[in-house]
Amino acid sequence: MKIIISAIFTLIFTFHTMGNEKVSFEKKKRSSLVGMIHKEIKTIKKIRRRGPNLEYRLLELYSENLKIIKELENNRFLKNRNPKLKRSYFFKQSIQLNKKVEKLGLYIIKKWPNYRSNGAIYYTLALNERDFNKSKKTEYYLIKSLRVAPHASPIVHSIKTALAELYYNDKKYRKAIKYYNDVIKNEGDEWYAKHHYNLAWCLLKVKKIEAGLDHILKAYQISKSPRYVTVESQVLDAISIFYIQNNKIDEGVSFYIENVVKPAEYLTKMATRAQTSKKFPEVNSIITKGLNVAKTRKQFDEQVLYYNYQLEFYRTFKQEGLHLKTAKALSAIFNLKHLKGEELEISVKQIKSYVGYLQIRLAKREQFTSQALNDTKLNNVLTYFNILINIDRVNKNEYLFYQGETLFSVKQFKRAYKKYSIVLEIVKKEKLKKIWKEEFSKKVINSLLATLTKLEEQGISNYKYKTYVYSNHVNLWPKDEKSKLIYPKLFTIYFKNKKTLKSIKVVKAYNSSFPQDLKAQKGMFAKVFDHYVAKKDIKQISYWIGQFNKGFLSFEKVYIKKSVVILAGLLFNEIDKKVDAKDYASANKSYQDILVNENYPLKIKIQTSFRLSLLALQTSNYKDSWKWLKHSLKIDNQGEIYKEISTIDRIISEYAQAQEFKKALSLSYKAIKKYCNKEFKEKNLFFKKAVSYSVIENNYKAINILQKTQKTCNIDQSVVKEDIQQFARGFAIEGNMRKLKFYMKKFPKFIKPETLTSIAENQYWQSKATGDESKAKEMLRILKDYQSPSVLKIMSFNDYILNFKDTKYTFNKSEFNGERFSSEIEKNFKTIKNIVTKGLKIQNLRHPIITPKVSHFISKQYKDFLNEVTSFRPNGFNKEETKMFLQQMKPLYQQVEKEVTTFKKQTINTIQNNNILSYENYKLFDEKDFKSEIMMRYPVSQLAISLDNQGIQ
Amino acid sequence: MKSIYLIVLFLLVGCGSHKINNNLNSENDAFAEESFMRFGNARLNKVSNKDFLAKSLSRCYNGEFKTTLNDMQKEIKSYKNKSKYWLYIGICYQLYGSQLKANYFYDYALSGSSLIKASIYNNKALVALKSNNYEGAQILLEKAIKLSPKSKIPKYNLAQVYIKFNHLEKAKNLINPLVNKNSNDIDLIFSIMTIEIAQGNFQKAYSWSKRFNSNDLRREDISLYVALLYYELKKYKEAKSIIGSQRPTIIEEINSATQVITKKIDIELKKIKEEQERRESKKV
Repeated sequence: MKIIISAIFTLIFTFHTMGNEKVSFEKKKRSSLVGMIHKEIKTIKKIRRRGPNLEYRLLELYSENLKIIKELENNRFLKNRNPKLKRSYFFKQSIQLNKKVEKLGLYIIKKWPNYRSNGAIYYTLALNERDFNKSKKTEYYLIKSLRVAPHASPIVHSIKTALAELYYNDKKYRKAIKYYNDVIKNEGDEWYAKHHYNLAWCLLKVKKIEAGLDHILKAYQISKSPRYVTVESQVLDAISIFYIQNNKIDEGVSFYIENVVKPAEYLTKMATRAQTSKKFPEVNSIITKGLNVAKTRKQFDEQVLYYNYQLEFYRTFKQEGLHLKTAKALSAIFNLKHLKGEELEISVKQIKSYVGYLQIRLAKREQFTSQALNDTKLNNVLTYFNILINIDRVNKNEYLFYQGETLFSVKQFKRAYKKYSIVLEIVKKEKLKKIWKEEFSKKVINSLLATLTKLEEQGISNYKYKTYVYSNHVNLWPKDEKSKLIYPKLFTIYFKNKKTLKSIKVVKAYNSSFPQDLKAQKGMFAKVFDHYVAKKDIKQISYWIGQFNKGFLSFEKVYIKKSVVILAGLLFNEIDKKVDAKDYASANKSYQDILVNENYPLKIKIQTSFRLSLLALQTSNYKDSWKWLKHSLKIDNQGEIYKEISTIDRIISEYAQAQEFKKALSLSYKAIKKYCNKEFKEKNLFFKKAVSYSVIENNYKAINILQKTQKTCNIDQSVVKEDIQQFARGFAIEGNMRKLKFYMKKFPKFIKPETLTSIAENQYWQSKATGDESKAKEMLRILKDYQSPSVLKIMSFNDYILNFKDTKYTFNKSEFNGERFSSEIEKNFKTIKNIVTKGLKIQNLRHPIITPKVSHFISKQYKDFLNEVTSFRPNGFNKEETKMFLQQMKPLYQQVEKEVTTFKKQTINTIQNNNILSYENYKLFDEKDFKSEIMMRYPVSQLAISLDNQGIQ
Repeated sequence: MKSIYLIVLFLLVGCGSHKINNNLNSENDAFAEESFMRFGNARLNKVSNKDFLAKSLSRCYNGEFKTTLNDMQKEIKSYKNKSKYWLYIGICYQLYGSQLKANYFYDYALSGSSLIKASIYNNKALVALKSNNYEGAQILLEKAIKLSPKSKIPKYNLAQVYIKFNHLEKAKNLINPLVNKNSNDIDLIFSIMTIEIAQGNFQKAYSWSKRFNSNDLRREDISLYVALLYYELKKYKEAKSIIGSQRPTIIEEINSATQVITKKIDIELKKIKEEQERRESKKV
């Protein structure tokens, strides 16, 4: 690599040096020449008396110097960059010297009028005039020169040649002819061919076209000889004019074909020249013949020249078919790789220009001509573009685009669309390679948009077209103002055609490029979302909710919330179907899947946990039900479960029904605690249930906690009144005083003291019957403590018995005294009466146990009195007297007996009629009966049987 | 000290029954359709599995409370609309000793038929009886009878209350129809015998007592009252023999009554013995 770089640098240096050397060599040569001239001039000037030869030599030297000076002046003039400096500024020296030379020459002629070289001097002056003074006096001096030059001297030929050329240049052809006729007599002139050439022109100019052709042909012939300066190229260049003027087109063509290996250059020129005076067929034949020869000779470069010429030629003569054929031929040659460089450029330019013209014409004629004609023309235009695409691949895009434009102009919108789209695809690839032309690309897409509009007008626009155009526009120019309008359209198309993912991409792209249009974008996306909802596409809905929560399109919380509700509905709807079909395992799995899926928001998971609880409940899996319910309550910081408060109530009841009282209690309590500050109708119900379950579970601690919670959470305690009362009745049935006391303390206003006192009294009477005095005392104390109304009755009864239990009915055993005996009877009766009266008062207290006991006590008192009175025997009475006494006492005995029986019956009747269940019933019936001790202990509770009705349908 | 106490308690519980074992054979069970209470393990195990509820209840009577209640919990969906389901859960809890829970489920069953309601009142009456709340029990049993006049058990149970409180005619009116239909049911025999004893119809009572076999006579309540009967019939030796073969029990009522009668029997036997000795000494 280093070696290559070094070599390159060496070569560059060498060429630069060589260039500089060439310039300095010429400079050296010039200065050497100038030096020599000046030297010679100086030498000659040293000579004071100079003759005409020296003066003539001086003239020649000055003329030489003049040439050099002129050359230098020209160089300086050409290098000038200052436009303010005029031409005269640069040629001052040469003009001056020319004047000096002229002056010298005229001096010589004047001084030596017969000098033999005066002719030469005049000739020199003439040439100087021609070269250095714009030929102002050239003719004058030439004629002078001719006059004074010796006849037949060589200078005469030169003078005539100069005159002929002068007149030729001045277009004084006739004069020129005169002199050329003489000039061409000198076949020794190396310019002989040139003179014939010039003469031919002069003759042509004076309309002696035949003679002119002859001389030019002669000039061509003469040029072949090495003696003469060749004018072959000039002749070849010009002879076509002569042939044309002589109406010898074919000869002219043949001349070229025969004499030139590659005559295309000349034949095309000939054809051009012929156009001015000849008709198309003749002119065409020139080219055609030349082309055929080129084909024969397999000269592709020649063919190219002809073809390129034909392009312009056929265009001029409106030969469209031939023009196209020519273009195709060029394309074919291009394919053979023989059309390149400048000629290729020409071909491209020509075809391009022509097809542009055809395009316009096509578009204009389209309204007026028949379809068939247009199709041909259209196809031709398209073909031209195809040719251009082939030969000018670099601009392929452009040509394809123009094809599109052409098709568009003739309302072939569908085809135009295809062309534009091909270009667009190329443009897109270029963009990827970062070599695209944005402006052109914009034109393409705009054309596509315009085509689309037209297709729509025609009713043949379709999804494919629209989406292609719109999507490419927004992809290539996402932030363009037109794209801003396209985004919604593209979205609508995708959406209507159920290309949801694409429609979403559009929204995203729209948002990325135009974030300020958030409202519209939201509206668009909302449609997508609604579609997912309608389709019940849970996966997508949940994904997008996740995106909403991350801030996608800044959707409002209200919307997100609604979406979550919808998602929940869908999710759960599907699972509900499984539940309805009793596919619980599958439903469970579905719920579990939701829980582990990070895409779902917390709200859904709370609801899922809750539903899992319900599902477990449905399958009587209370353990799992409780587990999930606890979990849902724990993670719920959004009040979701609160919405299900009535369901919570149902769950509580179900737990209790399923014997899960602890769970029911826990749930009731948790619900109260969690929603303590909220007011809802189930609140009191939860409290009521919680208290009930606490009682059922004998959970006294829970009771205490609940009572505190009731105050904190503003719950009306009276809601549990009935339940507590019912429980109290139950405790009473069980005889459970301990529990009654506890709950009376906790709920003093709810449980009546008589609930407790009825148990205490029952146990009091049982204790009394079995002789358990300490227990009886304890029960009485409880009755007193709770202010039982029975206390008064019991105390009254006890006092009554205490007062009269030791009553004795005595008679004096001493000597019988009738009066005394009567008063004793009366006294005893009075005592009994008192007992009866007092007893009645006790009985009026209407106590079921006490009343028969009083009757029994009175009966016993009468019995005791009867025993005493019947066993009394008067002291001092004999048998007869005693017999008579007893006889007389009989009525009294019967009366007392009757009282005994009456009160005994009263006891029994009271017990039986009132169904009194007194422990002393047997004793009250017959206290002496030993059975009563056994019977009162009859084990009823052991003998009683439960009623199941298990065998009864 | 504690361990001694526990051992004694264990012995008492182990040796003496806390409940009268009144299991019967199916043919002698007048209340076979109405109650599992007197079935015994063998009969309970024979209860068919076809009727889930009945089988569950039988298992509760067999002491399988936890598993049975668990199984019933699992079947809640199938039976929750059947009041019998709730009734039986209630009975199970009552048997288990958890009356509050029993009452809870009884409340659900109250929506059932009269028969179900009668069962609830009858069974609640058992609770009242256990706590000597006889008035409460009477009210409940009367309710049960009113609701289900054809049910035998509430009448039987009420008769027991009447027997205890000397409302013997009422008790007889309740027991007679039952015992006439099934005169092999020991509890019915016992009840009618006891009524006759209490009314002083010892011969009638005696004829009823003849239906007891030797095993029956070991039952603590039957032995006590048959001994009483024999005592009243002045057959003190037989009375002694019967009370001697009585099954040990910790039932307070029976124990205290047994003590009373035993004492009485012993006194009479002593008197007889003394009389015999006196006669023999006179002869001599």
